[in-house]
Amino acid sequence: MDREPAAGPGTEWNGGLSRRALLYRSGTIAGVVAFAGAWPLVRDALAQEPAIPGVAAGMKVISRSPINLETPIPPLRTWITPNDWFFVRLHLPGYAQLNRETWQMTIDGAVGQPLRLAWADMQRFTHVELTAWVQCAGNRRGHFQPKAAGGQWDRGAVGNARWSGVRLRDVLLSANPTVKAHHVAFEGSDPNGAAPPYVRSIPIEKALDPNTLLVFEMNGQPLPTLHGFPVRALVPGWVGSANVKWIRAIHLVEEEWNGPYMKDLYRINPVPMNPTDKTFSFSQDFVPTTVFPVNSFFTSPVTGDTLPAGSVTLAGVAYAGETGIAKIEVSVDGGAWRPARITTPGSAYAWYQWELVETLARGRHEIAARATDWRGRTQPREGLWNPQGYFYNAWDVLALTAS
Amino acid sequence: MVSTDTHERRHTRKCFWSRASQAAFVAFLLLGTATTVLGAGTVPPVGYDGATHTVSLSLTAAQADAYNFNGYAGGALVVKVPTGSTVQVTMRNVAADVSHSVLVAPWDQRTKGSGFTPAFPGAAPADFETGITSHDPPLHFTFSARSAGTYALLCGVPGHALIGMWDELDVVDGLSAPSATTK
Repeated sequence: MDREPAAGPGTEWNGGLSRRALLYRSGTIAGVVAFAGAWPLVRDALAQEPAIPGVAAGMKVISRSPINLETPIPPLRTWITPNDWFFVRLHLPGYAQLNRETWQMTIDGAVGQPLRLAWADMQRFTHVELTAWVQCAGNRRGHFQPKAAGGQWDRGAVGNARWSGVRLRDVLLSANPTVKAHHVAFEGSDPNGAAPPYVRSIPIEKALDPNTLLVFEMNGQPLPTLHGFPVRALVPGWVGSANVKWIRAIHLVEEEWNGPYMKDLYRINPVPMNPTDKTFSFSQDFVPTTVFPVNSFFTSPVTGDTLPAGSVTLAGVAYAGETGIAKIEVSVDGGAWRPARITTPGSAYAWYQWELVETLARGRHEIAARATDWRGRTQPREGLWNPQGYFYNAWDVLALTAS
Repeated sequence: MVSTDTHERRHTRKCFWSRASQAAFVAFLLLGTATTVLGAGTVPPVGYDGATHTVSLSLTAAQADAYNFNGYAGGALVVKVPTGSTVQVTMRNVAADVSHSVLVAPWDQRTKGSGFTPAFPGAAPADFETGITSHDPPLHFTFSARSAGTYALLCGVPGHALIGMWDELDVVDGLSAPSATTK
């Protein structure tokens, strides 16, 4: 059975109203005026139960327009994050509602054979599957001191899923890229109105990596609407913003894409800097955010919890971009680092789950966790500050009370 | 890492666009866009002391959890001030999880993602890129609107102006009093 989008087949939702919705609108104008008066009550009700299809009630609403939803900690306790609990990060107000039957993706630029591919064309490439985590570059940004610019995510702008699709490499090579193809830019169908379209590029080497995919399914289901139906990029281990949703074009270009989502956003200082330093040129002195550093956090207990004194099972996840996790260690109240046990191994792309049983005496405790990846890099004690608050990967610290 | 499955895949697709969901979805969007589409925002108060030619403008960021000032984005709100007046701007943010700010920037900066500069000395708060949340005290800044023209009142947090978090500030010769109107 085919999907039936609210605005009609193949329609892009551009923030305006389709014919069908206009009927609803005229009928509900009076209702909306009444709502405006009762807005505070309605808003609280909506905050508890967002009426967004495919999204679990209980997702934390960071913003409604653009839709940004964070996963609370409990759904992050399973190795696979369910689709309706997966964090949603959109850049623009509104989102694309596309149809497999009318979807098309062009490939142009530094190619010998420009292409226009439809859904049936995509099915002819070899199908592959990859379990990988996807994370927002700003996950844990709320932990930076001093505060850094942007959405103040806690730990839940990350999830681990089983992705199915085709290799980007196979699709690109079918267009005969030329030697001038140094970067691959993905253009999404985010309704942008007068604003620039959502475009981000990755270097050709990452694009041709056999684990970089164009995916159609998430955990065995067609991509949910908010996760990029029908086709999105899967650039494993790299910033979430590179995993462009609702792809409508791929441009092969000689230099990094010259658009605001590459030049004005998603860049980071290559050397440590003082937060009071304002002398930099963001687009010229900073480099694009790409592969994530090693990170980990507790999934159980949750900071602020009160638990019975005695034996406590501490659990969490650990992951690093394009490499595996070598060890996770835990320190209670500044004491010696003790190794946690990996309970579910991951990979260079899928996250790891770990556990450690500790004995906690009555009173307050601070418990820190740090992971080390296969390349020998360990999480730092403090976040590495940068003006737009990306890549926060300091030790996660729980404050607990045992009574 | 990647497992290959060359068998053809058949998918059962759930239709989650049931009538009830559609209605709920449209209602959600209407409520979310009502403040910009239907003008259910709240025009900010603009005070004026004619003796000292001092304008005071009070803005609220993130009405209805969206990227706007008082419910207006993309230039839907137009504030006019007399040339030469002293303008005091206060902005509070009602969102807890997304920081916002405001500054007066040249009109053409409203499509940038970052790298904003104030159009007049003092026409920006400190740390406008970091901004404030609802947990922080309001931002204040004061400037002299010394040159007539069209300027952008925009949010300095990266990525926000780019997607429409800006409105219009006109500095007008010979204006007897400031105003705030909507388009």
